[in-house]
Amino acid sequence: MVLPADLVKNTLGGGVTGAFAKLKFGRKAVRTDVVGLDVGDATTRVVRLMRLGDTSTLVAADLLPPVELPSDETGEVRPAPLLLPKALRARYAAVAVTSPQACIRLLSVPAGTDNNRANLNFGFFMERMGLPEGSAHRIGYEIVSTENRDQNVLAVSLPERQTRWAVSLLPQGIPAPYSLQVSGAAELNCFSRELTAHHGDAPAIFMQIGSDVTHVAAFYKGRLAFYRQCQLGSHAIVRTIQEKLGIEEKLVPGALEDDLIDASAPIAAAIEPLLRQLVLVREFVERKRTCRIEKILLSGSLLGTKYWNEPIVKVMGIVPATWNPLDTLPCQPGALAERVKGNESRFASAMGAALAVLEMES
Amino acid sequence: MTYHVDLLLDDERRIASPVNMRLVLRVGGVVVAGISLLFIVTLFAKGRDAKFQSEAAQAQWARLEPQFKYLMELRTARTELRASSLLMESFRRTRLPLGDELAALQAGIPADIQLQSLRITQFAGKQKTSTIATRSYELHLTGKLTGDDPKESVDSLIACLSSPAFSNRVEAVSVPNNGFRKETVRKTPAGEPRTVWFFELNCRYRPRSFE
Repeated sequence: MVLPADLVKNTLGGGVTGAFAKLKFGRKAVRTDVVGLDVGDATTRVVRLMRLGDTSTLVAADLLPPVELPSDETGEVRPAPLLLPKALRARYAAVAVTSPQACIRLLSVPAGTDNNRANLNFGFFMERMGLPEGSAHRIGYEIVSTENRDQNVLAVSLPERQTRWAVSLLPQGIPAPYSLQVSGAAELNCFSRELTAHHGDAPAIFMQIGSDVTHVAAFYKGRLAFYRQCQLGSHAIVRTIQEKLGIEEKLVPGALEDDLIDASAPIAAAIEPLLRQLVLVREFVERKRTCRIEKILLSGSLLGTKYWNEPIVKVMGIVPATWNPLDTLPCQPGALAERVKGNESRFASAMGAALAVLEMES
Repeated sequence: MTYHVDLLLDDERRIASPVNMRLVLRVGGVVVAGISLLFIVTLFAKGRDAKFQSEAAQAQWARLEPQFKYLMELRTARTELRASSLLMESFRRTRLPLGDELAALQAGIPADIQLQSLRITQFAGKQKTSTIATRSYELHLTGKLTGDDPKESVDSLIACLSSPAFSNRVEAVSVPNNGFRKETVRKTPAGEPRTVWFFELNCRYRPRSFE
């Protein structure tokens, strides 16, 4: 649910196309061919999903050059149109924006009456999400679950400039933007499906490491039970290792993948803040839900993953598994481009965004 | 459970069409403007053309008008004359050619018959199947004769009236009641009585229509 436009500052007018779209979009038509785009990070991740009957299939996936996310400064947001290869050109697009300024919170609010629902307004979310007063953000929320007298609301916000920027990446023709999501929320969608399909109701922690932000989510009985955003990502890890080993930044990935040096100590030091978050999440969920976390799945920009297991096992007592989001769905032969190999774990947001559209109408 | 927090506004949604609607609108606008301009130019050119044609036609009319009026007068006169001619022709058709009738009667009447009177009556009527006026004639003959066989002479006269010289026009010939009778008169110088036969004949002609 997007908050009413009159409460959102600096929203663009729809114009002729928008008015026409209002007539045509009843949200009734079934979208069966959707491309999921994850933009704003070091690479642009693109997946194309198609649904035939009840089965969704991964048709194509590719990594494209990055498109630069606009800063918070004022100025016109007019990026060059995003040109997709033919194999990835679906009719509709679900765009997920990876932004350090995006804010995601799992809020607990009183449930039930219409009055309570009326309280879920722009000011409420601005305050609860800690957004600076007067800033132009677009805010949306989804009620995730209702327990006793409380309901868990997943609220997301994105700077207005970045939402306009994301929409203007696809200014005309196909694909047409059909959904705009924040990456951290979109990947929850993909992970939720993975849990349902392969892990049952096992309490699990999902960690998605991005370039600048890491998302940690805990699921209990298949539902989101806790969510946390850490302003620490692979860039910070690379910088730490660079300082510890004294090598150039661009040599860090190669050094971590080779066995030439032992990077376990620098890695452990670099991911230490993430480990603290993991512990916090585990303790919160286990105490509140009276359960034991059974699985930890990692995805995203996993540099030197082989050095991660030991420190994680040390603090969590569980061996983490690397999760490939592209395995969530059946995959057509030749769907994955050569560039994708080795980077499969980065596609959780793109997959989640596309799945949200496909499953929204199924 | 789907975690779908959609930040897209309805105004930002658009139809997934490979055709750029903005471009289509622009091209459409240019085409419509072009067609409108062409229409206006064509209209203007046709207007000028029509004006020239009108002026030429007026000049031609001014030149031809006296001739036209004279022609119309001639036509009216011709129509009136034709109507008069038709009227006269219809009158002519209803007229009985009395000269021919009398000549034929003179030629065909037996020598022993002496005609005493001949009266032709004319009456107006209408055709049985339509409202067209007709003119009918009836010839009334009286005469006398002597001789041994007067009946034969009268029959001969009737046959004459029924002959082709009359038959095209004569419908019926009849002898009225008491139309053939004898009288005895003193006529001889010796004062001897003499038998004279008197007869009457009605000869009805076919109606002649004004058609």
